[in-house]
Amino acid sequence: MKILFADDDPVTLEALETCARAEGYEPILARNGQQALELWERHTPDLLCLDIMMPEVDGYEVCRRIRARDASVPVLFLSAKSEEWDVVLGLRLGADDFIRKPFGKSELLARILAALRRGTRGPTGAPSSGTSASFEMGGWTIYTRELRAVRGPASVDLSPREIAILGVLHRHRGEVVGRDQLLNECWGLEYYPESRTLDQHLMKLRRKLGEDPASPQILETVRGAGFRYPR
Amino acid sequence: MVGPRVTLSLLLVLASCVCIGGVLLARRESVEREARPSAPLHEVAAALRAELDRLEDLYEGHLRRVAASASDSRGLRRSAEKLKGVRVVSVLHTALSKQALLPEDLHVIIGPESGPVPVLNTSPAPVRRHFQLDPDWIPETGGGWVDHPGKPLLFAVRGQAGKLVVFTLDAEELERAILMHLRGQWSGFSPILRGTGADQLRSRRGGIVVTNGMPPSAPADLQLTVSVHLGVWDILSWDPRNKRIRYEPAILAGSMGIAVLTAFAGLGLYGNQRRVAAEAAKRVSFVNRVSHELRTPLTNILLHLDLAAEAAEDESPATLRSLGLARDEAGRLARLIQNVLTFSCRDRKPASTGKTTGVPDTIIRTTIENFATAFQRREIRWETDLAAGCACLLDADALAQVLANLFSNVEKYAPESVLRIESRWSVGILRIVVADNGPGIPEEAAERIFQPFERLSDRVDEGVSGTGLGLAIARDLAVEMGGSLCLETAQAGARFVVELPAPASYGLLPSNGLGSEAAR
Repeated sequence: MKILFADDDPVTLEALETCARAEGYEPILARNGQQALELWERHTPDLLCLDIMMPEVDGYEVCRRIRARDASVPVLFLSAKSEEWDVVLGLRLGADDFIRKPFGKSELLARILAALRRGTRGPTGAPSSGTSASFEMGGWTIYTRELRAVRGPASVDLSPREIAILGVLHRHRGEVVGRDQLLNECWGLEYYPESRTLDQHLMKLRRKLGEDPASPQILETVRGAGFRYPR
Repeated sequence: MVGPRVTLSLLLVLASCVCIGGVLLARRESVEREARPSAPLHEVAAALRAELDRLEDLYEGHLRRVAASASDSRGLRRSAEKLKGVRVVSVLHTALSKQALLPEDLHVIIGPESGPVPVLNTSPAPVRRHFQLDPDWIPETGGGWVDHPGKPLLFAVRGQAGKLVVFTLDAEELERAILMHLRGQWSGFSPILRGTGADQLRSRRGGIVVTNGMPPSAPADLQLTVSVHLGVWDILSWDPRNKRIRYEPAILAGSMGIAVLTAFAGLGLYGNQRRVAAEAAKRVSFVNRVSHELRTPLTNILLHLDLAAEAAEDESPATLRSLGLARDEAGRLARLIQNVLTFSCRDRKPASTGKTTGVPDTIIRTTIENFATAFQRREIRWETDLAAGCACLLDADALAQVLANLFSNVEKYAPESVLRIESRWSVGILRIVVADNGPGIPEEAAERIFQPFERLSDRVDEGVSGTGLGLAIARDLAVEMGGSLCLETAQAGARFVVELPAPASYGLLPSNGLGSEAAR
């Protein structure tokens, strides 16, 4: 999933890029509003995160121009301007959310996920199963477009990277999937994450899905070989 | 605090009142009579007397002719009916002819109405109403007018052998006849029409002949009376009145002086208040600008600390602890900046309109996550009982700030305690309870803690930092959202209850399955 980040602060942009890439999103970076509009035309991202105070074209104007041509793409404002009027103006221009600076990684990712999920949800709030790709794993239904897993009344948000890991294990059900295979299939051949990155993702996934380490239903560790989704 | 414009307006209104009051107090009003020459009125009175005398002579002549023609009652009636004002014609016989047998008195009644008839001492009293007529009232030679108090107007004509012809007259009818004559055929009153003021010619009985101008209700300045047997006539005159207004200079100058001083005082205060307000605004603006400028670098610090913490999971516990501490302190700084900004904006902030869709339990969980490491470090265990997993219309950021301020309170004041967070949603009302079993808050401080800058203890050596704004801001935000935040009495520790209106936005969403988490 592509996310366009537009901010004139390079340090912020770098942090946003790292956060997004770690979760499996494909970040596109713009240093000002004009560049954001051009990159939006070129890449048609799935979500936009816009700063407000940017040179050339400000975030409000970017949102207004994009909304004039695309009413559905989720737009989030990330801004140090946090007065109520700023928020109201942003939402009136068609933004889906307004994240006040300062924020941390988990808040950013949670809001991105929520915005993406809203963009794919039917009017009742339940996943629109008719159009959604999904698969079953250990009692959980994984909705790949809604970025969530549902089991009974419980629902958890998943990142694209986590969906990808589950997808690989699901396709190779009963087989041992090696670390390299998982990294290649989920991170791509051009990207070389540190070895513990995969472990961190798997640990988070287990926590989210409530896996019991003594009798795993979805993520079984095969010592020295890799991981397996047991039959 | 009263604004500069209100102060200025009040003092200007006060100055205006002093000014108007002074003018009213200094005002002196007098009415002066402008005396008119009375000569024209005297001329009119003389002309009126001449006219009335003429009419009286004329009428008297008519009566004498009727009396002379009196031979029998039919002839008398015929003659008398032609004259206005005659009610009874009586033929009486005086005692001068007592040697002879006195003939009987004759009374001829004219018209349908008749009053009492006159009788002499010597006459036998008639059956009808009558009154005594003393012959001495009648002029000796030829008779004349008898205008005796308490008696009708009479005109008597002495005849031969003690015979008296007495006309009983209706004075009112005669006066009416003269009134009509004066109104229609007499122009002698016209000279007094000239000039200002008012004049009136009227009978004493009230019949008005003519009025010039607008006579006031006050008594006339000049009254000339013309009295004849046929009535009493008054000429009344009111001189013109001129109203004069002047102002006492001393009072006027005094009040104007006070008004000007008040107005200047108002302008001075206005300028002063404006200056103070502008300086305060500058200070607030400075705080806001600094706070805003802090936000972006703080975001970068938070994001990079999060990334560093993830990348450093294999590092030593000391390194991880340092990173965790840095992350918590950055979070605390973020909350502090948000509180300062909220507090500086609270006087100029309009009613909250920032409602969006949010799931209360998600907001609670996210806020708890932000405090997780700080709680662990302070050995605070937490447990949740969350049952508000529906999507509601609420100001998610404001709710998160309220919760963060309450959690921050627990972190500071209730180490090694158990924090319990409950949420319930029912019929559009969200209720969140944040309770701990720490040292609690004394009952007498239950309201005071919601005041800005109020802390239970200001001692800096107690190891607890804070601005004293957290709870005040939390309550302000709850109230702005249309709800409340209060401290409920608890057996142990502090128990804060937040209640907010939170209408369902578009149906219920399932919660994320962590509705009742185990204590950590």
